[in-house]
Amino acid sequence: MLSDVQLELLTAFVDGELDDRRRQAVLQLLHESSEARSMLGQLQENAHRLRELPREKLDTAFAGKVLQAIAEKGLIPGPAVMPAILPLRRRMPVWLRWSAAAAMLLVAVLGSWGAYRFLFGPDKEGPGPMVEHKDPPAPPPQPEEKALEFAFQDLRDEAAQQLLVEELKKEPAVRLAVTVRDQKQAVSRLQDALKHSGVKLLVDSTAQGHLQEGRPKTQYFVYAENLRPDEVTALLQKLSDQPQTEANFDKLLVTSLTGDDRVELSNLLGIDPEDLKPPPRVAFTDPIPAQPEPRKKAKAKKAAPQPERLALVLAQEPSGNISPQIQAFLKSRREQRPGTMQLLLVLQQA
Amino acid sequence: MSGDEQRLIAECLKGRTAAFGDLVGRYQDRLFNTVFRFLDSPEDAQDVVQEAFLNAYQNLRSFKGDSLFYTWLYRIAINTAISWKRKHRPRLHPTTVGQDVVDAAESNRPEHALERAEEETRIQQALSQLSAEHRAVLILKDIEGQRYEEMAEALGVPVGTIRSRLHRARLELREILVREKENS
Repeated sequence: MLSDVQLELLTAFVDGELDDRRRQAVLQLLHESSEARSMLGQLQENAHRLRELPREKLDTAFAGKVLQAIAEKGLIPGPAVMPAILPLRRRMPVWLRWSAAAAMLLVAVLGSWGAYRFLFGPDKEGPGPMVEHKDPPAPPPQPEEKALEFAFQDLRDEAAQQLLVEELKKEPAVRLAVTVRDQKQAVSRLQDALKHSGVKLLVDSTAQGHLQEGRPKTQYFVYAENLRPDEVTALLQKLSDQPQTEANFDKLLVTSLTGDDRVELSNLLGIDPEDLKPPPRVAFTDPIPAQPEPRKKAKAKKAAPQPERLALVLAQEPSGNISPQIQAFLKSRREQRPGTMQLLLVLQQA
Repeated sequence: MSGDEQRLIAECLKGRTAAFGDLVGRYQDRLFNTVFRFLDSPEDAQDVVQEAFLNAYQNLRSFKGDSLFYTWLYRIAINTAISWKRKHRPRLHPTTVGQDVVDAAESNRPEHALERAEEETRIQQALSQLSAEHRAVLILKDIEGQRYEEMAEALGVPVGTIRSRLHRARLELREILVREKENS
């Protein structure tokens, strides 16, 4: 029976996007295994069947209809508005309630149109998400598709921080897509910020190599467990504390961690996706004191030494090796405590 | 992005709506084919493509040319299609795919045309059983011939996610087609 890795190689072979090394590995596999040959044949045939589907076309009058609709509705190319980088992924229900709640509270607390815009955007009738990062278009037409999105500078605001904490309390696992201008510097800042929460950030050796080489297209995953909502918020707030002229952290998109994310992450860690599933959510009980008094901390240390809390930076491109950093991280993993969450932070080059 | 596209966009922004008509004409068929395979309904696909173009027009100023204009349109269209699917109940009757493809040349060989129509129905129905995420990656990869990077940009997810989604989508499609073959 073919292993998951072998199956993955075969599907990637059909995609036609394997590097030479992996391509050789597939050819070797095909040479040795009739099952692999049969599987590849079926996969290629199905891809061929899709390619052979007839191309459907619109009639030539369609462009005229679009122009007519533009004229009838009196549409004009609108002003550039807030960024909306919304990936094709499921949204968690908690964010469905976010817009209304956030707007009411922020408008009341901040009393500024800028704050209102940062959560909503000015045009509710806008299109789906766009690719433009600097000056992209309006949010998608359906409010329920909206994820929680911030400019980092807005995270300095106490009301925004409080709202973020409240919403994070409802989720056992979140994904933070963070747009940065300098990934290497971002990792360094993250190391410092996590250290404040007593978490040591390990950088996987492959990721280290990519960071040294400065590969802007590489995305980096920062994964941590057992973080409290207030710790995550404090972490983001620390990152937002940057001079405007040298700002590195740009935008933040918060969504729930999906099954796809877990599969991808588990591939990088070399573990089963099931091992990344969080336990059912229970009421937030604040099991870990936010800032223990020095005396209490000393007592706690005497009673039972706490294991070192680790987080891990991975390059998105898998190396196929389980680095010493990954091993150390996996060894340090503990059962998820009530009121804490899994955090996957994805660093994307702006 | 080509200089010609830049010129057309600039003209649109100056208020020359007809220039947008040129852009629509350039991409309408590719977008329609993709959305049609996604929604499995030509009528819905036409409405969605029109809505996507209107959305693009309204937000044209936001497009700065950092990515291909077509990728930008794609992203709007796919998100519009996803919203559409959420809002509208699935049709109770089967798709008309198959009827549309019998062209004049095929009608001279009715058996061949019928086989092709059946094959198309089979593959389209299998595609329809996949999740939106899996369907989207297969359409973009196999039907549109896009590369991982283009797909990642169009769908707004990392390249690794595209790779893993394609992997699962291919296996799932294979499973559905094998099951369908066994049952027939």
